[in-house]
Amino acid sequence: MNHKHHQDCQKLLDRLNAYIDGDLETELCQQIEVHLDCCPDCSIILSTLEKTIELCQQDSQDTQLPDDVRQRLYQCLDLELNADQKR
Amino acid sequence: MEQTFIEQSIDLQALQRGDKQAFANLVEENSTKIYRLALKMVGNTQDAEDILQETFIKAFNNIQQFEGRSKISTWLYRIAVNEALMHLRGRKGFMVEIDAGIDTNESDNLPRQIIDWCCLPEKELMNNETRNQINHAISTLSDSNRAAFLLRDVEGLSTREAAEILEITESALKVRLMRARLQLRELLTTYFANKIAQEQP
Repeated sequence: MNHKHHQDCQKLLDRLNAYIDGDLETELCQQIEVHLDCCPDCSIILSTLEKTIELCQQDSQDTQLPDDVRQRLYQCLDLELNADQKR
Repeated sequence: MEQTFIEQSIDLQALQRGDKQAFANLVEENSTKIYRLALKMVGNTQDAEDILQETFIKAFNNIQQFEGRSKISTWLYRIAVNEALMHLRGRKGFMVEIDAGIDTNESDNLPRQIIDWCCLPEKELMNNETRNQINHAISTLSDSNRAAFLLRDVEGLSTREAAEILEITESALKVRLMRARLQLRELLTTYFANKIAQEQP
């Protein structure tokens, strides 16, 4: 499905980043929210964009430093691993 | 008065005296996030490990030059990003500019697919296959857009900190971030739309 970029949608797209990051003034946020209430396409763009960011964060947060990588790091820096770090 | 940003757990004076325990604390506190950033920047574990080691070797050798005008973690991120970009530049060859032929024009950044996949069950939104798709999508970003996205959205740095690390203005950072976010959304939408289509009778 192609999105019809009418004027209000374009305004929203221009401010999407700032809206997501909470950088917009209250009045502009309210204008966006009024538009979102009546534009399912923009509402989907916003929700899938926020979900995209959330999934990328979640995937990355699950990445741990492998024990062997940690050991080699300490070794190359000539540092001692303490008992808690020798997992 | 100039603002300083020393994390409470980091003893800068001890670090600059060459205190091994202080450096071990710095490594312990920051090694996971530096590895994570490096892995997402370059996409393979061997290069990520090299970047991790190089970052802390450089930090150790240059700690005298750290003046405390930013958080020490921000300083480490900057070293790591530079190391990652050097790895990527090396991989592509010295004759190729870092983003040559990769950056998209403005029309490429318009959302094209309007499919609501947020309603998919959690096990379909985050499983090994999805993780592979996420990593693939991130790898398709231009190096500069990827760095902006990882620092700001994944590592959670402020716009100011991320811009400072990449040595660009906050406005430029926001442009890169928007391009990255929309490109990732488009790629994940394609993937999830296929999943939804496969499930329909």
